[in-house]
Amino acid sequence: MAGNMNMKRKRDLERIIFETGFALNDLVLYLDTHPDCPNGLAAYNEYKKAYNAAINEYTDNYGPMRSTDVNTDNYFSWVNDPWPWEGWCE
Amino acid sequence: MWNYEKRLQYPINIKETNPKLAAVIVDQLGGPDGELGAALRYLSQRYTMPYKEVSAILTDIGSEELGHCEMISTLMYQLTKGINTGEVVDNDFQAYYTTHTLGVYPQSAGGSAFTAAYFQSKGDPITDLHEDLAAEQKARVTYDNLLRLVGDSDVREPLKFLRAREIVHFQRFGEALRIVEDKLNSKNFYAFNPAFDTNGCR
Repeated sequence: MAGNMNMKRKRDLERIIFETGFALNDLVLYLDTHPDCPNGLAAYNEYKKAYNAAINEYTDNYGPMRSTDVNTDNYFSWVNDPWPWEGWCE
Repeated sequence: MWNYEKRLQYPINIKETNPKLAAVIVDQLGGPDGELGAALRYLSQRYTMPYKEVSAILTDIGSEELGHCEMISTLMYQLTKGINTGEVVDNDFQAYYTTHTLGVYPQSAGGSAFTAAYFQSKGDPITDLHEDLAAEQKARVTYDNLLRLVGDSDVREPLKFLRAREIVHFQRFGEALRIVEDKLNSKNFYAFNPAFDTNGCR
C-alpha cells in the first residue's frame, strides 16, 4: 500500500513536471518576443516556482532528472533505469 | 528533454579575424568527422542500447557534442566577424561567402553539405561502440590537422580543449565497450545481438 502511494505520488509529480515544464517552455518563447509583458512575467514566475518545487521533490524521492542533481554518495544514480524513452514497465 | 545554458563549454574571444581559417574549421561542424555528426550519432544510438551505463554515456557525450557544435560555430562567427569584401576575395573564404555570406552552415572544408550518411546507428551495441571509438579518433586527427594550420593562441586554445575531449570520449567509450562485453559470452561476443534477440527488457 505504501508502495502504491509512493508510485502514485511519483506519477503525480511527473504530471506536474510535464505540465509546468511545458508551460515554462511555451512562456519562454512568448517572453522572447514580449520581454516586457507583465502578465507573461507573472505567469513565468508562478510556473517556475511550481516547476522547481516538483523537480526538487522528485529528485529527493525518486532520483535525479538532471545529471548535476545527483544526491547519493555511494552510487551515481544518474545511470539508473528507466531512461525516458523506455516507457513504463509495471 | 534539453535545456540550454547561456555559456560556452570553454571561453572563446578571438581578437583577429581570419576567414581563411574559418573555411577549414567549418569541417569540425559539418564535415564527415565533425561535432554535429558526433552529436547525432550518439543521441541516435542510445535508444536501443540495452545497458544503463552505456545509455548514460551516450546521452551525456551526445549532449556535450551539441555544446561543441556551438564552440565551432562561435569560432566560425568570430573568425569572420566584420570582415570586408576585400578580405573575402583575397583568400579561400570566397566560395563559402558566395553561398552563405557570413552565416554559419554545417558543411565540410571541401564544401559538401552535412549529411546523416556520415554516421551509423546500427542497433548492435558492439558495432555502435566501435563506430564511436573510430569517430573520436577521426575527430582527434582533424583537430591535429587544424592545429598545424593555426598560430593564433585565441584559436589554438579552444581547439586544444576540443582535441582533449575527443581523447576523453574515446576512453569512456572504451570503458562502455568493456561494460557491454562483460555482460556477453566471452567465448563468442557475437552469439546474439542484445539489442535485438531479446524481449526488449533490460
